[in-house]
Parts: sequence; structure tokens; C-alpha cells
Amino acid sequence: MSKKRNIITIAGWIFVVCLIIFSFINKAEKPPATAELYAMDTIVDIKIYGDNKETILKEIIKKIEEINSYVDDFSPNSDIYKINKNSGIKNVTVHSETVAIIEKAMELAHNTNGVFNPLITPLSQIWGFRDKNYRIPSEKEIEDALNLVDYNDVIINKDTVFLKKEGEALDLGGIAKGYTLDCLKEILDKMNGERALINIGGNILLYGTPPGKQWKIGIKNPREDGIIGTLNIEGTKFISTSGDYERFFTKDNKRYCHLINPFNGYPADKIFSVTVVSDKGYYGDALSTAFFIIGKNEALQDVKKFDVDIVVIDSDLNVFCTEELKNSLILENGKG
Amino acid sequence: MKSTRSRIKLRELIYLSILIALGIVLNLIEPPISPIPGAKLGLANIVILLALLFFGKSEAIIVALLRAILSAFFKGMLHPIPLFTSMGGSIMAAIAMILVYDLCRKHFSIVGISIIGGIINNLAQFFIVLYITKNSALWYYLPILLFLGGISGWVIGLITKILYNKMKTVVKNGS
Amino acid sequence: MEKGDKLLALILVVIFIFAIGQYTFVSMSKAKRTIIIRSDGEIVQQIPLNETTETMTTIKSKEGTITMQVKNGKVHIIESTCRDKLCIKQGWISKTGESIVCLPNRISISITGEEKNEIDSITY
Repeated sequence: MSKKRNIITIAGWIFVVCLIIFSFINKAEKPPATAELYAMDTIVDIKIYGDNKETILKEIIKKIEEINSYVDDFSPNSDIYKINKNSGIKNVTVHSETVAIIEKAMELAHNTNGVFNPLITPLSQIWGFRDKNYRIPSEKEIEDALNLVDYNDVIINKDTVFLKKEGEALDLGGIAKGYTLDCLKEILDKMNGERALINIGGNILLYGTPPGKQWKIGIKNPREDGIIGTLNIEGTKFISTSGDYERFFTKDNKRYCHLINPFNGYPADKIFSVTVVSDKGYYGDALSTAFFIIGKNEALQDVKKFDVDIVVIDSDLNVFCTEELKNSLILENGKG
Repeated sequence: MKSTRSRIKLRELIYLSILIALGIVLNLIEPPISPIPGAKLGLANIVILLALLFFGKSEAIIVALLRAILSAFFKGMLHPIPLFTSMGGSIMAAIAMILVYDLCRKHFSIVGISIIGGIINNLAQFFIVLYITKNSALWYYLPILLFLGGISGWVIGLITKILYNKMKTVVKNGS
Repeated sequence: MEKGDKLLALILVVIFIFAIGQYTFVSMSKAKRTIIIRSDGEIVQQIPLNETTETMTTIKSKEGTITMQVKNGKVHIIESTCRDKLCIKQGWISKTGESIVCLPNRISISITGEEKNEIDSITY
């Protein structure tokens, strides 16, 4: 009788000890506050960790919806819609936030000598990217559109914005997501956020440090399912990618994507995608568009002027990156 | 160590030395278990158990330690890490077996103690390799390692039991 | 057989069932296999493994170098700077969960089943 009891006690104790050891090994993490919503014409994925994660999440969702309401150029109530509607007619009073975004867009337009162009709308229009009526425009159409993309025609005066020529139209799609992520980082800073990952249509804000010390971000393979490689990122960073696989159409075996060269009026086709890692969201977002348009060699050259790092995937699916990222990039097909 | 030294008689010394030598040989000839480098079946447990059964706890520990250290010398410092794992496993197993024998010998037969030794041997080796390589994929091998440890412990236990019964008359009466 | 022995036998049976279950679910799973290479504790390479993959890769660590060959959906180490060459003796692995470890070089090669469970997010 007592032998049986002893065995059971011993077994019981071993079990308890095992449980304790296991609980130390697997320090289970508290689940994050998450949200998935549709905004800025894309999917937004939010994960917030830390103490006041629910409150932070609410603030973040609010901010995303707020900015979305200003820049959604298809919604008649948005600031951008109103500005575009009155192009060549009169200036429009808008929210100070909208002015801020447009000013940042202007900053990048100047810094990239016009490669990033927030007035690209007429060109997007004739190629069918705005109404999804994909087509190849005539030479005349392209010529006419090229006359409406001079970003110096954007006149900002305090809280009013005026587009000089009729037919000109702002499209902040190439910078709004990055700008929004900047605002969200500010919210996290202000509210003492511990850690967060926010993905707005492929533009990512990494905030804080994950348990594994490094964030692991996959770069989508531009031509196949899955990812082409993984970036190991430490700390808070912004990631933006521009590629020819999101919005495009094919005609006669040639691919036409939604990122158009504002100088010749044709969709850029030098490389498949470029990913920018930066410390400023709006910066990285706009630069990813600009680098995509100018191509691999120019991008790898010019990147030195900006304080960012990039990964370029050329039209042979070869992957290149700046020096800093060489140790952080792990490719799928085995080249370290 | 002082009190044990005074208890060791020359005869005991000779028997222990033979056991240690046997342990070294067994360890040298036993095959490794992949892919945990250095992990071995633990045949040396035979001699540790015999030392435990015939002479006692302290003698068993001495045999275990000396066996491990001398094995290291014989293998040379060529492969330090596999050595480390097999040493670690062997010593942990020895400690476990000695503890079980000391505290609850009533509940376990020789074979039972040996099974425990076999399992602990592999368990310790597993964690040592896991710690060194930090490869979480190795957890896959744990169940089969523990099971094999138990089985080899069982076989070792049977061998030890047979040897014990055969040697009982020689060792005990020969003084 | 003492009572303790019976407990041990029970434990061994349970462990055995675990091992079988693991083999059935993990190794026999049809999930896409990936070779994960770790050097000095960090993952340095990931290679998808299927029947047609054929490569020869060199992996370096602070302690040494090994050469790994992938052929016919199987992996093995073909060359290593380590003394004992135990890693080469381990032969071929091909099933999810299996590993080859070169302890002196602190390099390990494992096959996992899940696609990329380690990714936090994807940028596109």
C-alpha cells in the first residue's frame, strides 16, 4: 500500500518539476492587440504588444482612418478630391495634415529631381490604372498628359492648396502610407508603446524589439508565390516596397505596371521590385517609387545620397542590396 | 573523499580499476547515435552499476568520474565536443542511478535503475547538444532518444544483473 | 518486477507512442520541406527542398567550413573541416524533422515542414 503511494508521489513530483522547467523554457507571450482593416485602397494589418495595447490600437485605427479620409482621391469628401476638382480654378482650404503630406511629397519630388512625382495622375489615367480600364494610350495622349505633371504647379499657401493647370491632379498614393506610418510611430512614442508591427499594403512599420531580437521580414518574390528572401531587421524601422506585380496589365507579352516614369510617360520596366529600409516612413515610401523607376544601377548609385538601404530585384530575378544589408538579407535559394 | 580512502582496500582498488578499464573500453567501442554527436548508448553504465551494487555510492561516483576522464585521455583531445557530451551524459546518468539506488532502491530492480540511467544519459546528452548548437529543430529527436535510452538501459540492466549474480560469489567471498 | 519498474515501463510506452506519433505526423507530412542551416546558433540560409533541388553549398562558421550537397530530395554533408567527420558519417537526411549536426563547427542542418513560420510580415 505505502509502496504504491510512494511511487505516485514520486511520479507526481517529477511531473510538477517537468511542468516548471517547461514553463521556464517556453515563456509564453501575451497575445497582441490586433486589427485588420481596409484603408488607403489596401489591407492594413496591425499588431500591438505591451501594456496599453488596446488604447494604442484604437488611436492608431483612428489615425489611419483620419488620414485616409483626407487623401482618398476617389472619395468626394476628401481634401485631395476637392483640390483636384478645382485644378486650374481656385485654391482649396484643407486640413493642416493634408498640407503636411503634400509638403513632404514636394520635398521628395525635389530631392529625386522629379522622379517621384505626386502629380502623376493624368499619366495613370491614360494607361487605365485609375479606372481599371487598362489600355495603351496614343502618343498624343501621352504628350498631353506629360504637360500636366509639372510638380512646381502645386502652390501651397498656409492651409490652402492650388493646382495651377486644369487637369492636373494630386495622387499621394506613393507617399501617404509611409507618412501614415510616421504618424503611427509618433503615437506609439507618445503612448509609450512597447512593440508593434503595422503593415499597410506592404509598407511596414517595425516598432521596438521582438523576442527573437530581430524582426524577420519577407520580401515578396516578384514573379512566384512566396518570398524571395528574408530581411533581419533590428529595432524600429520603416520598410517600403515598390514592384511591378501589384497593379499591372499584360499586352503582347509585355507587362505594363502602375509605376509610371514621369519623364517619358511610360510605365517603368527596368527592374521587378525595390525594397527600402529607412528611418522615416514617408521618405522610404516615396523613394521606393523613385528607385523603381530609375532602375538598378542608378538606384544603387543614388541611394548613397539618401540615408536609406535598399534591396533591388532586377529583371532576371537577381537580388542586390546595399552594403549595410548584406548580412541581414537571407535569400531563399541559398545565397547568404 | 577522506573517509572513502580509508575504506578502500587493495582488493577493492583492483576491482574498481578493472571496472574502470572495462568502462573505458566499452565506451570506446560503442557506436554513436546520430545525429546527436557524441551521444552514445551508455554501455559504461554497466560498470558504474556494478561498482554501485558491490561497493557503494562513493565508489560508484569515483568510477564514473575516472572512467569519463580517462576516456577523454584515451580518445585524445581530437574531438573535444563529442567527448563533452558523452561525459556529461555518463556522469548525469551515474548521479541519477546513485540517487535512485540510495533513496528508493526498494521500488526499482537493477534493470529499473539501469533504465533510468539510460534515459537520463540520453536526456543529458540531448540538452548539452541543444545548448551548444541552439538548434530548436533537434527537439524532434527527443522522444526517440528517450525511448532508445530506456531500451538500452533495459538491456544494460539485464547484462549487469547477470554479471552481478555471476560475480557475487567471487567478489564478496574473496576477501 | 518492482512497482517502480512498472512505472518505468509505462513511461517508456508513453514515450514510444509519442515517438510514433511524431514520426507519423511530422516526418510523413506532405508539407513543403525547407532546409534550414544554422551557423553559430543563427540561421544563415534557408533552401526549399524538393525532389529536383540540386545544389552544393559551402557553409562557414567561426570554427570551420562544411560543404553540403542536396540531391534527389536528400541532404548530406560531403566535406567538413572538423576532425572527427562525424557529421559526414551521419549520411543522408530527407524527412521533416531530421537534422545533421557538426558540433565542432557549430553548424547544423535541419529539415522543417512549415513554410516560413518565422516571418513576422511580408513587404510587397
